[in-house]
Amino acid sequence: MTVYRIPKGVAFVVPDGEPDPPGVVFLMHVPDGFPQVLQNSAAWIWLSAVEGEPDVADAVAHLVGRAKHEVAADVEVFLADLVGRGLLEEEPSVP
Amino acid sequence: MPTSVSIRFTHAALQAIAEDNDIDLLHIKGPTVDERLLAVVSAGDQLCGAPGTVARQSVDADVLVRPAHVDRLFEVMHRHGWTTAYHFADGSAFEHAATLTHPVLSPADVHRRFPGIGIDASTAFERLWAERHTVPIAGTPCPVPSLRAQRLLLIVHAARGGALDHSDIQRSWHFGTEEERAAVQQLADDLGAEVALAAGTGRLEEYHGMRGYELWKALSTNERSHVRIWVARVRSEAKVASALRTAIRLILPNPRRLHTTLGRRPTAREMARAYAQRARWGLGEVAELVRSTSLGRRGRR
Repeated sequence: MTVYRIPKGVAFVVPDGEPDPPGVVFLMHVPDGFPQVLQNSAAWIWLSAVEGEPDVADAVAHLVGRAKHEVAADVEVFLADLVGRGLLEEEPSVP
Repeated sequence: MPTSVSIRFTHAALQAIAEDNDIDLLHIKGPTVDERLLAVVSAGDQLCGAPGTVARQSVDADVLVRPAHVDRLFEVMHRHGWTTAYHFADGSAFEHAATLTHPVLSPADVHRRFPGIGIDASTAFERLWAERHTVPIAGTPCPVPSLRAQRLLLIVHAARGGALDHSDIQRSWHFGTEEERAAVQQLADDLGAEVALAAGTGRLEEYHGMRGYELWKALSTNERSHVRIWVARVRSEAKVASALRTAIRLILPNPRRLHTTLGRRPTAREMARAYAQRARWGLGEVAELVRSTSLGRRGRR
């Protein structure tokens, strides 16, 4: 199972007043990036990943009320996209 | 992007710049304020049904920078797309903060000292820095003043704005325990901020006759006469040279503010007109002051 973390230099803000789980998270590479916004399931994927959920697809499926097998492929693609954009990084695995 | 989000990103961006360039700065006010000093809403007012704190409303991100690092911070910020909108001399009569703007982020108010703190700015920063701790802002660890220092800064800031009934003063002082108030007083004594603290906590008369008394009396009571504030401000200066500089600066028009108002560099004619307006304003204020003083004397007879 891949464990994720927030890369150094990535700032994030969940706006005040958001419910739990939040529907919006803003991300930005500081000091020189542009703010980006993740909403709903995109936000839940990022938040679940950085909160150390052992199975992100399972956590997100639970949040959206679907079976894991229905969302797993999309979640994996989006996680890879976030890693590619430098908004998420994989924890080095412990030998 | 909501302003409250943008301000947090500004704090995070400034911290990243500071760390990369060995610059010491403390994040103050706004989202950096300790939760224990925030207003609390009751459970009934919350969607989740639990009591919670109310986020502070700001328009910019405030930082206090080690005075020796100010020039370096500005140089680096400019390299990262920041523009100086108002330099120290363009701002308040205290010349304590400069405002920098950014195409994406919220403005930053860079303080080189904090009005109300009387000792040398570098010594004061070192004192505050020595008892700092770190809190996450936008997920970025940022150094902030100690809890008692935050109490002091909030009280003094409210007093400067004449807001003696401000809830910051209630929470930072009146709702504090005796030990908490003693800790704030101790720090104020160390920083030469006892007069400003007294102004904010209703004890200013204990400092009658001390340097700064007149100024903090004028500020904390929302004195409307610019001339009275001007006189108090000049008298509060410790050195003759700085008093003279303050005296002159406060009556001269500010070219950079004029530039901002006009949206371009003011012409020589516009500057001349500004000088004339300022002179007329000064004469009017002095006349009003004399009138009110003589009326006051007559009234006392």
